[in-house]
Amino acid sequence: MFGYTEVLQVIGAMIIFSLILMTSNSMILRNSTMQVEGELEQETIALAQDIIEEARIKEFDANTTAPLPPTQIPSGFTAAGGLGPSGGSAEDERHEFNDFDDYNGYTETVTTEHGDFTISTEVFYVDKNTFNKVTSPTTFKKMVVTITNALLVDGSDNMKEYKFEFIRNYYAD
Amino acid sequence: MLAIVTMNINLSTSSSDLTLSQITKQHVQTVTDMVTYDIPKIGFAQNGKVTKYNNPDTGSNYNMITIAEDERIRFYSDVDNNGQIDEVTWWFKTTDPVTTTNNPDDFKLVRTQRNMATNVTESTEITLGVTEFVINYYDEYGDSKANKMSTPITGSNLDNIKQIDIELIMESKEKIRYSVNSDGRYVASAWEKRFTPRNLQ
Repeated sequence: MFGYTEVLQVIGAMIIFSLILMTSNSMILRNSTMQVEGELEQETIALAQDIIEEARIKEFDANTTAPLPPTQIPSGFTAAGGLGPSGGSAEDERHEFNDFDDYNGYTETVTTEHGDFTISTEVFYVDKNTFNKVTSPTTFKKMVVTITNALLVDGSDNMKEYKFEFIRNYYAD
Repeated sequence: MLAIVTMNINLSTSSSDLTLSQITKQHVQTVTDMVTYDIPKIGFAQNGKVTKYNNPDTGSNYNMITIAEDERIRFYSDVDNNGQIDEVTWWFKTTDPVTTTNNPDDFKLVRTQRNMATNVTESTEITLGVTEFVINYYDEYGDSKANKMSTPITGSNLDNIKQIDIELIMESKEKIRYSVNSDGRYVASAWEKRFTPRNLQ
């Protein structure tokens, strides 16, 4: 004959089992999330490398595309506020970019096996010692590639921004 | 009791899934390490670059890329930086399935390196579960995939290749089953990268 003690023991066992079940479910979910994140992050790195590799083989500046470099370096380079495609139909598309800073302000959505990735790029002059952003031309330019994906989110469900930086020196080309 | 058994099955499936996924990712990493070692060096030579008209190391005339197909690429480069040009071929042999796995979709991926000075050939057969290895070629930097060059690329068009994009999908050798009645699936891992070899500019 069962009494209240047994009932309470069964309830206790059920509560303990429920807790174990919830923990194991959350562990499975966490593992799956990390698995997917790892896969997507690998693709994120590959996409950033793609754009950096492409940009680094272009000329350093719009004013160095001619056979002769500017007479004054670095003041002869494009002004900091003018970095980006030269405008007009000649540099509308990525394949028309002919120098490193044409990628400034460039955004694109790339579709891969892992879904859509949004890429945005910023290029600016940096100080040769601190590598911090400066507002006048120097012989160093930094490219920052930011990549987001709808499945790569933080704890608040906001898309995480993956930033990749590359610093280029005019004299090291 | 049923709940305990179900939880146990779920945990064990999840654990197998995770292990297979890790192994597959490791295999992808192995292949991508090899690919990223080779492709950026297309046309590299110690004293310049291998061009159609002049090979600075051997004096012979080679195209940088001699075969450009969906599943095969052959190019010349001093990949091991020993002063001797090598002929490197990557070939995904879709007619040659891997027989040592249960997965019916994986085929052999073969890398061959022939030293042009000694004529010694080294061949590496990759049987780690490659189910897709597609090579796309572009004649414009940053062009969209819709504008890729149609393959096979032959003749003077080989000289127009500027970027090479490689899509790789690998699957586990064994299936994972999520329930008794399910057919299960092979755990897959994908990788894609567009290369801009400096010597192709």
